[in-house]
Amino acid sequence: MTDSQQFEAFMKSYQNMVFSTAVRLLGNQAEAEDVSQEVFLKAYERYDELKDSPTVGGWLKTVTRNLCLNHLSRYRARWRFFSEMRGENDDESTPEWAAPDTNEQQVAAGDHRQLLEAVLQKLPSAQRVPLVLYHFEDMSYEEIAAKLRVSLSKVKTDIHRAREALRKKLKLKMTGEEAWGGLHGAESPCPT
Amino acid sequence: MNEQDEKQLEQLIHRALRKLPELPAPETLVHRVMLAAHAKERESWWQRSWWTWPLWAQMISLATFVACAGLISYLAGAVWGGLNVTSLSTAVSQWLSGYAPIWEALKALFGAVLLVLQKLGQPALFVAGGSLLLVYFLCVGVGTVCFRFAIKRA
Repeated sequence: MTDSQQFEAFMKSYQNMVFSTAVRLLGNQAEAEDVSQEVFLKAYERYDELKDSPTVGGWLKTVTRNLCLNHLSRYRARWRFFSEMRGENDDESTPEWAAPDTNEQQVAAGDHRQLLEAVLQKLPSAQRVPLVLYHFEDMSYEEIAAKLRVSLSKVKTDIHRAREALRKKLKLKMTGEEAWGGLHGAESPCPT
Repeated sequence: MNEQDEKQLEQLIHRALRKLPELPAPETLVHRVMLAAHAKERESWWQRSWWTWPLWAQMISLATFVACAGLISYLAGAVWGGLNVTSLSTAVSQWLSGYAPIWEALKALFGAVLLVLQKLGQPALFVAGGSLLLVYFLCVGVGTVCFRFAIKRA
């Protein structure tokens, strides 16, 4: 097997993980594909070191996260501005999602996941990014605040708004397991 | 929402999000990356990032940069220090004796600029603005030449 073939196999093993991380942070598939390409080009340059490394997954995830945040930082001033303008009317400005009004219990778990994924991607960047960093990347509120260079209270507020938006858009019932169907299961605990 | 509700919502969202499967990457991604990687491999050293240049090239480019910066700071210092045109022109013309015609034009231009500066009465501000513009256009010019020469012809 040539180096190119080896690298292609390597890419196929990790491309979904890299792409998922990028899509969830950026909320845009085309931009996520560009960032994923950039990540794998960096990996290609260092493939000799990476191919036998046990921490390659972590390396890829960190590079993806940093490139996504760099990408977003180009628009940081804009989204911070809009985030702060949005204020209390946040719910009105979150994109509309045609959540099914019919009995959700009958919707398959796969549909719930698609719905959740879609709603997540449609959240405003100011809410989606800290939410993803907290729940997917296992970063604490303090780490997120430092990474995004915003105040701790803003991180907490944005994450809270994001959760509320998800709850409302998905018509999530706080006490009802049934509303989430197959989404529940034993998972790692929250970062804090 | 009280603290308990908030915690409950956090746990619920966390479980739901962590249950999400990975999204499938576009089928074209591998092809795109391999094409870009092979294109990158075909690039000459001078088309790549400065950090990846050979050591000798880095040294030469660094020395050139330092020499240019030194020249600019010397000229700026000379103007700032109020040296007259004659002593400055003598020093520089000796240094650049091989480029007399160019120097004559530059000297005339330089003299004109100095005259304007004296007339304006705020030479420091003017020199600073002029220097910035000069450096800016120098960067644009060098960048354009590099782009046309190094990238377009690759």
